[in-house]
Amino acid sequence: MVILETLDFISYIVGGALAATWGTLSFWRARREKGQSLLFDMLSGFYACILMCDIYYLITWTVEDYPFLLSPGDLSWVGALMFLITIALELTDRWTPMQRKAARRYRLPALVAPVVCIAFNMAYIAIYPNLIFNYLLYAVPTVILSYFALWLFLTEHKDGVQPGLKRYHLTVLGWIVVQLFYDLFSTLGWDYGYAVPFVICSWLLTLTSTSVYFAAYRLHKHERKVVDG
Amino acid sequence: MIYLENIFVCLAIPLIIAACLLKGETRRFTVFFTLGFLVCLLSAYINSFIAAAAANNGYASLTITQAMAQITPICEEIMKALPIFFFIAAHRHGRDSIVAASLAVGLGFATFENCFYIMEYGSSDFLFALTRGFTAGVVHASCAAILGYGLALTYRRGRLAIPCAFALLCATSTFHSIYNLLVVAKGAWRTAGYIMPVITAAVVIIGMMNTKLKIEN
Repeated sequence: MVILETLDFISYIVGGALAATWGTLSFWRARREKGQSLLFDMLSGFYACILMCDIYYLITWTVEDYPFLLSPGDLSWVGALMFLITIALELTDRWTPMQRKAARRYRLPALVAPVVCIAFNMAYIAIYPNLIFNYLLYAVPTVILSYFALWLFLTEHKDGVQPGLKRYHLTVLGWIVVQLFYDLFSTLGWDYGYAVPFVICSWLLTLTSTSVYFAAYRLHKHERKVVDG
Repeated sequence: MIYLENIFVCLAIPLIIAACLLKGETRRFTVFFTLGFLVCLLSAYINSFIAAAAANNGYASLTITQAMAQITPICEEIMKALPIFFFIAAHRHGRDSIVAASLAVGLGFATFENCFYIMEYGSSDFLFALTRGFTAGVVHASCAAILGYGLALTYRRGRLAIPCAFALLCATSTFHSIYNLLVVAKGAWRTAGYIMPVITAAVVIIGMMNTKLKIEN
């Protein structure tokens, strides 16, 4: 099981770092060819955060013990979430007043996502009250992002305001759901010795993270089309 | 023991006098450069306080590596960002002014920190001074420039500025942590740590030059 966990860790780190490098380079090329766009900049920030998170964990794993209090690697992951929130806000800012009016009716159903996230996080905090700061650090951006992702998804699904982005929003939602389950299984797994759910979950997280890289690339391509007019 | 407050007073007074005499962009640069000294001094206090508090609250096994990699960068990056946030909130300047102000804070911070290290470890070792200049100085300046550049992109976009500012703080803190983690390690890791800021600075300079050329064309 240790070998499986190590392999999982290495594949996750190396795969993530490669995908993030590819994303950053493709952004660089797009920015040179198409000119400045806020979405390109935010995407580069997202990829850079993922890359730094991977590098930080790789170095920590190699030269030091596991982080003790608050890991800057976690902070980088939170940074990636915050960049995704900025992207969501930028996408909503592009709506025309008519589209905004149409989207308003999906705001209430979209509240389901943050409620579910809060419920999960309350459960974690109840299990591990001493980790309240770490859970809050993750929970706040996750709750905000889940709200925007569901709202944008519902709007795209019903009204198709920005065609081609439905899958992107769905992938972000899926990523959040898998992260919630991952946290639950992995924390329980560490305490009760359930290594199998932990490994399955981490593989699931690897797959979902990879899909987020592709979703970001899809957004990148969408933006290139928008810039081209 | 080194009294940082005395070093601050002796370095800051001529700069404050100069700021009173100068005007425009040069004055702004001088003021933010001096603010860089001040935030470095305050960060030193806060870092010591947090490390002591952590040690007294059940984290007695906190090593220097852990403190340098996990507490110091987060605290320093937040402190460096404060004058820039104030500058953006208080004045409506152009993008270039924001990047220049944040770069000045970063450079001031790095200068003050280098003064302290030179006094602490002695000024006889030229290689040490050269390494400090090319690594720590560049890390502080690069992180501040990245933060300033990112904030300059979004500060006029209202609600977008808040998550973006937080994301940039997270990104710069992690970058700084990676550097700290590498330089306190041994062997090839340390060499990688010394090379990292130089490469970053090269990328930042090339990127900025490219953007400038594009605007001019």
